[in-house]
Amino acid sequence: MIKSRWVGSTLVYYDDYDYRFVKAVGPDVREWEMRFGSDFTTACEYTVTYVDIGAGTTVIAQGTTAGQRALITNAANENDSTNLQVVGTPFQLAVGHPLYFGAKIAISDATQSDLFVGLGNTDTTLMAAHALNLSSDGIYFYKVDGGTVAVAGALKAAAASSVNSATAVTTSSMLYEIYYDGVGTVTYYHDGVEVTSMSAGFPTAVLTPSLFYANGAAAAKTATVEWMRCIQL
Amino acid sequence: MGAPKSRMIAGATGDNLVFYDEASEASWIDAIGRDVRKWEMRYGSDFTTACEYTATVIGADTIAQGIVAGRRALITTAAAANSGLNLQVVGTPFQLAANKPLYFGAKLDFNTADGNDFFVGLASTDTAIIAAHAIDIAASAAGWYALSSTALVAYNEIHANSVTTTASEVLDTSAHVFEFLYNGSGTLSFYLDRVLMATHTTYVPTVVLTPSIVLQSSATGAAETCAIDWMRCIQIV
Repeated sequence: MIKSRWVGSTLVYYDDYDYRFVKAVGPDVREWEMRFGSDFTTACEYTVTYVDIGAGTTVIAQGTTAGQRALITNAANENDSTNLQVVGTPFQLAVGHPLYFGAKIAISDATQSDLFVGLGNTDTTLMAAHALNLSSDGIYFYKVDGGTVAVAGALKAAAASSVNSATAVTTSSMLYEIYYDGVGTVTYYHDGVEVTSMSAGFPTAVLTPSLFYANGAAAAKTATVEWMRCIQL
Repeated sequence: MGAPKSRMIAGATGDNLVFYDEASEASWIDAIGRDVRKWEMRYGSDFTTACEYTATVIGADTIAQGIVAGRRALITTAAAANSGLNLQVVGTPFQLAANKPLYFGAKLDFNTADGNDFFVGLASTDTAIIAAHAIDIAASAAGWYALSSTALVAYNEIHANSVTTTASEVLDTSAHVFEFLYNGSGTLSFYLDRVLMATHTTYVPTVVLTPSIVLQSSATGAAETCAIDWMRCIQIV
């Protein structure tokens, strides 16, 4: 059920849970949502960095299945990957400015893959060698090859904090959501279940919506983005 | 257009808030929901590369951002018979399916009332939706068309099986609003200037579709224009 409430002078629409912003209306709202018909082929809208270890070509494109805004198809080598970031760094956690980040994503292999989704500093290798590789700042979820544990994490000036989600990653579409209350707490939700809250260790640097998906074994793998959005008041 | 109103419409993952024109509950303006699928032609759209749209040009035809206030795009065909442009959003983000109501609408105006062939609506991927002054879709489509005539036709098709209804209004050079609404249970309702013109329940497409518009010069070969004030598609999921 869509409800609305006033947060300061901004009208916020949310779904089911107070934290799940789906739309905000106000003169200074910062709102980004991946578009249908996004431009992934030039550097105008996204910075896309591919890694192809061997034969084949990794690509991100608009999905051809209804509802898909993006489809990552990694070529068939281990560590082939796609690193996607919105051009610019439009978001920054700051007191008085609540922020919501959310994404609905399905991956074709829940175990033999690396996944990163969230906000990060500008970085073309969010993950590397099956490990988190973000250089300095971010709030995010990630999982590493060989397991299905989603980790809720934050990085502030290269110092990391993390908590494992009790909900395992599967090949179904799953929700990855992060909410900053504009006071001093960042809360993580995996598939609608609260994972953890952090009241310290989250960044104050500028951030951008980010997505990374890599193969954990030598076989082509896909990641599907149904939606991905970030809203800050 | 009247004032916007809103109502809740149930989707598979919860209720969604749909804004519509008070002139017609079928004339959706916006929708808010976790899984709402929404596309609207942008101001400043990229028509010059294949990133955002697949534009198939037959002759020296163009599409560009409009330079008149309110226009999101202006299609101009070459002064040659059958010259024209076939434009589709890259990807096929929409699909008519049970319990997933969908709205499509566009506000267009043409420089002549009977000098062109046009189609506007949703279609499967196809670079020649119109050919030889006839609808030539290879797979499926739903929308409005006119073929070198002022007669406006509400139409949907699955693989050469189609249903058409000629509207009671005819095309002129004023701006007109072309819309259809899929109710999520097998019925397509077609509206012209927010007035119901036809209801179709057979050959409703089931494959993935994308927002599409085609403009071609008629056999007389005069240059034609189509200004797109807005064009949008919204689906509740």
